[in-house]
Order: sequence, then structure tokens, then C-alpha cells
Amino acid sequence: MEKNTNSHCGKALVSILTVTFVALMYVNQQALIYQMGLKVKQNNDVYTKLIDHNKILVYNVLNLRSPVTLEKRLLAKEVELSMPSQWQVVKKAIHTPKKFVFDYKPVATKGFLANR
Amino acid sequence: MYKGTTPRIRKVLYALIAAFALLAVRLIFVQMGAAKPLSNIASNQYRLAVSLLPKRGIIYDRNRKELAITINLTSVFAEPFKVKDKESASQKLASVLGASRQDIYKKLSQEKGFAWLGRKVSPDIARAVKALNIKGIDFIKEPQRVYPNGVIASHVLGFTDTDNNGLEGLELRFDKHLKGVQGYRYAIRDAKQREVPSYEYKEIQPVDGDNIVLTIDNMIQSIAERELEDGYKKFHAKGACIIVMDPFTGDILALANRPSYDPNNARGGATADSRRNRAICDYFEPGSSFKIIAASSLLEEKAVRPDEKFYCENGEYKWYGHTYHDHTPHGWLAFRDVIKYSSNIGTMKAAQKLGPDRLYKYIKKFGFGEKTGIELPGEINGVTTHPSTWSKLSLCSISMGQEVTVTALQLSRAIAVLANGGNLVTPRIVETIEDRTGHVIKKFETKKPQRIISEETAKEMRNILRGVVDSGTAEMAEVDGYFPAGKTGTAQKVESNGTYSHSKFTASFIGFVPYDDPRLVIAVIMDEPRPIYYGGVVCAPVFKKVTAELMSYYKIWPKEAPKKKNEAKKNNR
Repeated sequence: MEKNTNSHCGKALVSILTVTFVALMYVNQQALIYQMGLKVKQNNDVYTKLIDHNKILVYNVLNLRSPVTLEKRLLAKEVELSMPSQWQVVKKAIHTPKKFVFDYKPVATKGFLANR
Repeated sequence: MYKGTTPRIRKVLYALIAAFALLAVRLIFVQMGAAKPLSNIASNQYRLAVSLLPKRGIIYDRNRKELAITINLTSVFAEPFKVKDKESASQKLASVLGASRQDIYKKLSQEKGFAWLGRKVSPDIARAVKALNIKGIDFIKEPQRVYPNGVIASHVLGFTDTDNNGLEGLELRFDKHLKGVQGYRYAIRDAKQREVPSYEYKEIQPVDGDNIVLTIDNMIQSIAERELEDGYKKFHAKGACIIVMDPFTGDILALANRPSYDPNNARGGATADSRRNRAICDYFEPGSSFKIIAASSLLEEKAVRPDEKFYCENGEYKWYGHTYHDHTPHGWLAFRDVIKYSSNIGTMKAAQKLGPDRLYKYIKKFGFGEKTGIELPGEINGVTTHPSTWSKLSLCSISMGQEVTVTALQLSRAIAVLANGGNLVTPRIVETIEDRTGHVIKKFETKKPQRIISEETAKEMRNILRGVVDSGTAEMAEVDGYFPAGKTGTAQKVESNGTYSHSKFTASFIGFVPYDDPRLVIAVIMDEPRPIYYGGVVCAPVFKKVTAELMSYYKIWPKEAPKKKNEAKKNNR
């Protein structure tokens, strides 16, 4: 009778411990998911911020490169430029370097190293 | 069954059974009857729909230089109920945002949950507001359309509103393509209404807007704008426009108007007048530049020979009770000289050999009185009337560019016919529409040109128009070594009482270069220039400067060494 009661108590205890463990694992997993989500969001925010900053910088570069801006800056410095005449242009022969060709020969024709 | 239970306990039991029965009924009602609305209310409390804004497409010029891009800027908003010391907050914010303290205080005092304090402020201002660290002031990123070249091509590009909807120009015309499709992220929010990032349950990705590639060349556009601005200011004109076009394909390389505006600040600082694309939205009587139509049709119909002589009545000619004048008196002139010296009397006498029907046929053939079909919004037809409605004077008047109204683009297309050997081209300003990956969605093919006059007539007209620049009314358009050709126009404007004004004129010069192998067509129009109003004096120099720069830009070298250069070299020696 006593033995039977002990065995029941043991089973109940194991069940309680299992349920508690599973519940704790579940809570831990949810906390981890939440933490990871926050980290992803933070990283994403940094990424977006950098992208936005990059776009603003690109805009600034485009703005500085714009013919209107360049013209204003040159005029402010009293630099007057004009398109070159033919006699002011020297045509340089374009030297095209020989392309490096990788002479690849497959080291094996069969097996794992074979050229697939 | 309930032996041994007291009646009191039984009563409690019955009460409990009844209560549970009621609960069961309620549960059934909640589950079966009111499930949907209740579940909606519940989900609205914890669910959050975040809008994912698409990127508006980029507009490129023909060399893939960005003309319009989108950047993200910070907008500042307040949650007024969260701001404690409104007085101090409004003072601090006013100094940073550059707004009045009263306005900000008013916004912070209203009984709303949300109030904008600054939309799309500069990064520096956003940083300064963040540094104030005021509770209840928050930030949101919003896309802003920007135009790195400022006023350059503003009438072509147009601009957008605060919510990035196209309002003018190509931004309006291709808004559907540029805008993209908004996406959504459905997430869960916590008790403080913050998004819980790990619990997204659905995401619909935004579809970014398509990119547009134009036929405009940024460099040609800026040269054309600069020279037009100079002419516009020098002659105090009311308005001006310039078009640079490829005569063979109809590609618009530059299109500019004055007055102009900066599309980066269009909503704040541009008047309706400065926003109007005059090159396609305004019509005017072309005056003598329209003589190219009469001359081409006369030669094509073989109604006159280039060397046929006309008596120009020494500058004064009466026709049906109306006296016509030439600006310089001439006696006998060959037909080519009639055009060269822009004699009204000679032209109208020649036109009489053609007759109203044939002249009208060629006016229509040259594309007047109908839209050119360019992809820009707001293009108008111009006015050409049928010969059945013409008066006795109409044939003469129309042959010299009166009683007919045209747009600058129609005139450019007409002169392109002579430049390309007799074909009417369809102007094109958009080359392709591409998606974000560069895949072409829509290609605006060059439409097949229609032959409207013969190659011989076109060649003869090119020679005649070369004479106009060489020693006629447009000597100021001459560019040494490049041999441009063209036609001037000086048209009296019509007053409100229907009579021709003696103080208001429309000056024009339409031409191409080089005359024997045309590469470019350039049309310059000035509205009410003062004090000088002749097309040959007002518009021809603009043509000359633009031509000179563009020839160097295209690396087309002069055929003869420029005189000035020779002299300079001699001096150096």
C-alpha cells in the first residue's frame, strides 16, 4: 500500500518537474525570440540609417557634380572655361593591355575533383 | 441521490447549475454569434499594420545620370498629451525648427494624439531636435523627392507633393510607374503600443517604382538653360523657351523654359506662370519662321523656282484694302532671297501661286494643328483653320505666319523635316521604363518618320536657309566653321481688342547645324523681348552660343579655321 503511494508521488513529481521544465524552456525560448527580434530590429535600424545617410551623401555628390553648381563655383572663383577647339585636343592612342587568360585545365576528369 | 444534503446546500447547487447554464449560453453566443466582431476588436488591440513605403523610381538622362532621386528625411511629430512643460518645449523647438513659438505651442496644446511639427526636415535640424530630448516629441522617416540639378530640366521632370504623388511634368505623366505599390507588415504590439519585432505574422513586400530613362542629355540641357537664361535676362523677355532635338529620331536632347523654378522647392516658391512648360503648353503666331512651310510647299509643288523673281513693291503692298509691309524695302528678289531677307510681300505673292487648299495641305502635313505626341502632359494642338473659313487675306497672312498658332515643339519638328531630308518625325523624350533590376518594361521606340516632302526640296530649302544665316536676317546666328542654317521670326502679338500690337512681339529663331549634314535642330523663342524684338537679334545669338558649345561637346570640329583664331596665331608669331 505504502509502496503504491510512493510510486504515485514519484510519478506526480516527475510529471510536475517535466511540465515545469517544459514551461521554463518555453518561456526561455520566447524570451530569446524576443531578444533576437530586438537585435534584428536594432541592426535593421542601423542598416536603414546607414542607407539613408548614404542616399543623402549620394544626393550631395550629385548636387556638387551638377553642371549648375560647378558653373556657379567656377564663376565665383572667376574661372572661365570653354569647350576646347580642335587644335587644343590631342588624341591619345588607347593602349589596350592584353587580357590575362587563365589557361585552365581540369586536374581530374573523374571523381570529386572532376570539372563539373 | 442527494440524500443527506440539506435543502440549503441544494439551493446553492441549483443556483450554481443555473449560473453555469447562463455562462454556457453566453459562451455559445460569444463563440457562435459574436465571434467575428469580438475577434476583430481583440486583434485590433494587439495587432499593428506598418506601412512599407515603396521607393519612387529614379529618372535618368540618356547617359544614366540621375535627374530625380528619392532620399529619406526625418519628420518631427508630437504626441501633445505626453508633453509636460509645453511652454518650455515650444520655445526650444521653435528655435531649432525655425517656426514661431506660438504656432508650436498651439500644436502642443491641442487635444489630439498627434501633431506634425516639421515635415521632412534636414538631417541637421533632426539631430538638433533629437538632442533636445523632449518627452512626447518623436520622429518618423519619410521619403522625399529631390532633384540634384535644381532648376535644370524642371519643366520636363515636374515635381511631387508631400506624399510623393506626381504633380507636374513626367512625375505626373508616369506617376503610376514611378510610384510603386505600398506594402504592409502586420505585427503584434505590446501594451505600450510598440511593435514586437519577433512576432510579425504577415508581410506584403512593397513593389518599388520603375526607373525612367529620358532622351535628355544633362550637359546639353544645362548649356541650353544657361544661354537661354542669359538671353531672357538681357532682353527682359516675359517668357522664353529652347528646344534641342535630333532631327532624324525626334529625340529631345534639351527642353527649357523661362521663367523657371526649382522643383526642390516647387510647392513653396514657384508661381503657376513659372511652372508652365511653354514649349508645349503655349501657342503663338510664329511670324516669318512659318515661311519655311510656304516655301517648302511651293518648291515641292513646283509652283516656283528658287531663282524665280518676285517684285516686292519697295516694302508696301495693298491687298484687298489691307496694306502689308516689309521691315526693309526690296524691289525684285529671287524666291530664295525672298526667304533670305524674309520679305512678307514676296512670300505672299508666291503663296498666291499655291492657293489655299495646297498651303493648308502642307500645314497639316508638317504636323501643325495637332499634338506631336510627346510624352509630356499638357501639350496643346495650336490653331489652324480650314480654308473654307479663310478670308481674302488669310492666304497671305498664313503664308507669313499670321492667323495660325503653333507651339515651339511643332516649329522644331517642322524645321527637322528640312534638316533630315523631308521626313516628319515624332518627338520623343522618354527612352525606356525599366524596373529596379534594369529589365526594360516599356521601350518608347522611335516612330517611323513619314515622308512629307522630297529629298530635293529639303536640300533646296537647306541651301536657302543657309543663306538666311550667311547673309540674310540671321547673321548673328553664324558660327564660324559650322555653317548653321535657319529662319528668323518676329511676330506681332494680338492685343485683347483683336488688333496686332506695335509693342509686343514674339521673336523666334529655328535652325539646324551643320546645314549640309544636320546633327542638331535648335529652336529659340522669346515672348515680348524688350527693347529689341527681332528674332535675328534676340534669339539668333542664343542659337549661336548653344551651337558653338554643342559642336565642341559632340567633338565636331569646324571645317574652316575660325578667323579669330588665325588672327590670334598671327599675333602670337
